[in-house]
Amino acid sequence: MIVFPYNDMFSSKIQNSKFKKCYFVKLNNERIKISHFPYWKKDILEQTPSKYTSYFNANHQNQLSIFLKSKFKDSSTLFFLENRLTPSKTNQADWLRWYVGFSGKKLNKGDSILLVEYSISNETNFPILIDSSTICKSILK
Amino acid sequence: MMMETTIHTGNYFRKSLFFIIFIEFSLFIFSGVSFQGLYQVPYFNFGIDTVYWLFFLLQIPQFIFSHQIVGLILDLSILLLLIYSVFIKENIIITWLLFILLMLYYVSLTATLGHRNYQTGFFIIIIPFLFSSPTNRKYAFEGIRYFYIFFYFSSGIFKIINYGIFEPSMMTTTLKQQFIPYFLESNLSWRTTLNLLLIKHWVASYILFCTTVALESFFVIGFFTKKWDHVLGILLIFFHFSNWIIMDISPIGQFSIIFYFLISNKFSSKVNG
Repeated sequence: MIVFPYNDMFSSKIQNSKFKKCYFVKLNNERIKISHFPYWKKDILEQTPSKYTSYFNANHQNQLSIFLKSKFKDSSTLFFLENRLTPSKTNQADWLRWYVGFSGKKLNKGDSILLVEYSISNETNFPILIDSSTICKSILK
Repeated sequence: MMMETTIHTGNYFRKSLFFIIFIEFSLFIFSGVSFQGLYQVPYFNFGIDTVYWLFFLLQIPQFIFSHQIVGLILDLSILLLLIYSVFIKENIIITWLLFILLMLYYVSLTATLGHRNYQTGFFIIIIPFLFSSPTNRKYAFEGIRYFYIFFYFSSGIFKIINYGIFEPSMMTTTLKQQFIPYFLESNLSWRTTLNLLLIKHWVASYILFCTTVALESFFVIGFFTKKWDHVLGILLIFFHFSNWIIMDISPIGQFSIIFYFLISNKFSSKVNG
């Protein structure tokens, strides 16, 4: 329930702690910086790329869509619930555009926006970027 | 002689609490994540939680996300209703309205974020003021007090039963993961320097983690006595603000809960005096 959020946060050993995948957005091949923002804005800019990537990679389905499909067999009920409880099948360009706008950057015609997955190694005293791959891309028309 | 005013009906206490909620909400606005700041959010995500379902089934957050002016009106309304509650007088209808709006705000914000957040204090602390009867208000405060004592105490217990406390590298690993954006952006602020120092000195980090477990577990005392509530409030300040500095996890939405623990004991002693 709403009042019981995450009180087991940081309570167990992080699995596969030597490597981590994280997600960032690039505008015209430059990573959008987020660490200077106040906490809540930084948190949204930090968390939403990974959430959106999961949704994007699962063919525009999140965990709630999967749960609803497993529980409601009646197609009209399922349609009603999915329509209201899950985001509409968002065009990736819309999400990328929103993200850049939310970070305070101005967009111009021809700008390229990329959602990039970074592989980070935690084996040394500070994280090292070891690989990156593009999840999705949009060029502003 | 017993004072007529108790913590549950006291005007000074109510005004102070609503003023702190005003500060909390202003900080949300300052962070750029108020209702208006969430304009055009195209993707939201929440789990199996009927409170979220209720708001989203009615399409209220979706409507707010798609109309910037509605977001702006709601932000201003919350601020004005809080000002009214602090400076003019108590009104149960306005309190109900504030509670629903702030809960709607929490739902919209955390659905945008993609997961729930522990900062529920800024709307939960209003629950007692939804009742006009002093007895009901008193019981509601008791319920909230026990809930937060359980919340913090169980956080400490989870760190023991999930073996986190038996993992000396737990804190350094967490610190590295928390600060990935800082490192990738070559952010050379004092916070990054402190983070690097703690990563390098794992014993100091582990001691900090164990201190956190001890601090959270200490909340068990609240189940047996209220005399230590102000100490719990001081511990909460220490806990949340060190979390803010070291882990970059802010406690904005919990200020009112900290205030409640700090002051409840003081008020109780006045009442009995």
